[in-house]
Amino acid sequence: VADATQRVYIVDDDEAMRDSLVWLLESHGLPVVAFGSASSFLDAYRADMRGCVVLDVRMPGMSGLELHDRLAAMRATLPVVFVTGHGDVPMAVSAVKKGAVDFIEKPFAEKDLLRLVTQALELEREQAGARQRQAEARRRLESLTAREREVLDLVVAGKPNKLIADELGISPKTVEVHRARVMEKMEVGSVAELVQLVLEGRGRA
Amino acid sequence: MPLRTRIVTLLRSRSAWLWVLPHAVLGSFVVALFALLGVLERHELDNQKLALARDVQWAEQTIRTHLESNVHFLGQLARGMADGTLDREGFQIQATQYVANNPEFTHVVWVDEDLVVRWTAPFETVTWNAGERLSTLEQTIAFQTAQRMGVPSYGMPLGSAEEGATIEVHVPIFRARASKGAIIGVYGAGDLLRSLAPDWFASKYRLVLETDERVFGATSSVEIPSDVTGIIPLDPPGRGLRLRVAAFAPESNVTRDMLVFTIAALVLVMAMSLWMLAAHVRRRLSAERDRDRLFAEVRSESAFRRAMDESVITGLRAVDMEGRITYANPAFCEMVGWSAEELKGRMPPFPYWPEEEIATLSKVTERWLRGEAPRDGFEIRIRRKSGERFHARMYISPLVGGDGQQTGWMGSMIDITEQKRTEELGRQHQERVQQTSRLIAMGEMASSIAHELNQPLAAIANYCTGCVNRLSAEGFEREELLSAMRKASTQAERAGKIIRRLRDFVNKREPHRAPAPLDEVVDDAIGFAQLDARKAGVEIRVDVPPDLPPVFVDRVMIEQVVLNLVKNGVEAMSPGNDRRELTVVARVDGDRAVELAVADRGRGFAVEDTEKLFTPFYTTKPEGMGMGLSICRSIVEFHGGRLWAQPNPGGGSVFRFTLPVRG
Repeated sequence: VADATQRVYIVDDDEAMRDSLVWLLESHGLPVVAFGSASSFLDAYRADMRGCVVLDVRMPGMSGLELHDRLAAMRATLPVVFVTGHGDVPMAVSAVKKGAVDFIEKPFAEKDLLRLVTQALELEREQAGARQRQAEARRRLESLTAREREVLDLVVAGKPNKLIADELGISPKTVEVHRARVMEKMEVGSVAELVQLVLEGRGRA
Repeated sequence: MPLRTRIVTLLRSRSAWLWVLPHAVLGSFVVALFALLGVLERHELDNQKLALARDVQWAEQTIRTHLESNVHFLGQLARGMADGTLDREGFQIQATQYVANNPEFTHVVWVDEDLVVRWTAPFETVTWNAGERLSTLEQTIAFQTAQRMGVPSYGMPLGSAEEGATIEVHVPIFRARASKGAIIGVYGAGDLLRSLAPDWFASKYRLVLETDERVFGATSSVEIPSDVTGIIPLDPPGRGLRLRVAAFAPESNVTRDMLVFTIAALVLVMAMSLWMLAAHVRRRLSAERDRDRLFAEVRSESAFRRAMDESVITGLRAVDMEGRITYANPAFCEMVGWSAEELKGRMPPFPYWPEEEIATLSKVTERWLRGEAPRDGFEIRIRRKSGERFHARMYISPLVGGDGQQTGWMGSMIDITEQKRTEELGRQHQERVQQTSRLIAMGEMASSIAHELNQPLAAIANYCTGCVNRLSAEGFEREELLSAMRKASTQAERAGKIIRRLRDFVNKREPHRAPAPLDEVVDDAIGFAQLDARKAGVEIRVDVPPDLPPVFVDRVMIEQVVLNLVKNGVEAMSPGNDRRELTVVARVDGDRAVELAVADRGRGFAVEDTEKLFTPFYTTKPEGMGMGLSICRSIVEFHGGRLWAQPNPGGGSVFRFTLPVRG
């Protein structure tokens, strides 16, 4: 379910709850790391952490909601699954509105928890892939010269070579050369692929 | 009222006239009296003058007679001398005897024709010595007049009144036509006056012998000015000589003086009595005015009383010392249905007593007639005339008359039927509220326990599912599975404990009070609350010394109170709060109680809402029922303690309650 770098981070102050969750998730082969409080998780947090967070809403000291807010403020990419007790539903709903994946109410069935955790991991994986592709596209775009960049923009805008030549005040032959260089540097075989890549590079997955 | 004023004014003006009359009469009386006294005085004076004239006339007569008889004696002597029958010895005897009998004479002397003194009687004299010659002009004139005329002749007085003036009468002696001298009778002017006027006369009048120029003698040396005088001319004996008679001031007339004094005193007394009468009348008038004013006041007061009496809705009834009704106000009559006339004079048992309670009420009435009425009144049932019954509360107070003597008892009565009904409704309502609140409290408890059960249940499910998964995959380690299963059973035990607590609470049970260590009670309660506190991020700090004296309580009930207060405190501290700390502190409160304080740092409450906090259905929580604090207070008060709230200095609230140490 998880890729090699993904972990399930459990934050719960109740020792039995925390330990049993580790036991349960590990039985599905998921790599789990547990924390007894929000602050100990924050201390361990690094921006390149992969996976998802299973977070208890109510905890003494910093609550689950607060931790969620702090992570959002740090532009953390880890999806969060809230675990709530009886009567905390309104709190959990507001958390979801703020960007949490979902919440699960105690006591819960194993498959429900697994489904949410899997969803979160998949989501994170996709997001991580998208982030990687975007970074690659940007890297390639940055390798273009200024003239190649101008040509690229006009190609992506769907203009034929002749018009591009007129617009840039160069010969259609020169446009052909630049265009070939762009395709090569961007490592694409077709204009459609090129457009896709440019869009990814602009951050639209 | 104006009519009264006019009459009073009229009376007052008439009384002014009434006063003029006695004053005028008194004045006239005094004037008339003094006029009368004046007239009497004048009359007296007239009488005195009349008496004087009479006395003077009498005196003149007497004096003349006396003088003539003296001259007659001297004439006898002269004749004796003339015819030679009287020798010196005879002269001496006769003359001396006469002088002795007639004190007006000082001397009787024979002078010869040459005015030489020959014989003198009496002997023992220092003047008129034989051989002396009479030399004064007056003596010579008198002698010669007598010789010439051949009749006795008086000379003018000699000397002055001070040195004892003398008057001489010369009686000539002729023997055969030849003068043989004269017998001279010498009168002392004073002696003459004294012997001539009898004592009664002298005491009444002052006699003065005088001429126009000179005074020669007087019966009294005191000169008296008098209106009443009379003149007796002694013409024959001397020229211009006269006797002036002046009446002494009449002896003070004691009777008259007494009369005047008495009259004056009477007038004074009359004036005083008049003045006193006037003062008295003035006082009476002023008293009357006061009385009128008082009367008006009393009338308005009594009108006010009547109006008040008729408008009050409290029934008022007065009885005398024996319990006989003397008065009942309209409200009382309306309440009982009997009229004031029907009630007046009735003795207990009163007609408005229900038949079935006559015995009880008689006892009650006897008690308050002895003055043992309860201060806050007593309840009685009243039977209306219609037979209908109602509840009333009666207050008895002593009725004290104007003289400070108690004359009876005043009873005031209010109808409390409505109050009773309201109380009953309130009681029923309270019961329902208590039932409801018990249900709600149970609901809250159940919810709280469900909440807490989640934790071990979820853990057990996790452990079990994890085991199942591993067993299915067959790639398990035995030790690992055993450990997980043990943990699962531990959690099952935890769940069991929670269930036991729930059963303890839900079990309908009678309160059972027993000594309990407060720290254990608090720990149990905190055990329930800990979950909520943890969830809310609240740290609970407990400071209950284990050496506190055990409290005498129903343990479960007090646990509920602590739990409720702790939960309230936890909920009051919202997640945004940065000081999420709740303290539970106990200390000894005197030697009979222990005080427990639950302090939070939450929203707190407004001081004016302090008491509202404890009223049923008052809540600040969106999902609260507002029953918690109300029930807590009931529980604490059931234990004989009290529960109250205070603002926590520095923010939040403190709820404190006390519990007794002994039963």
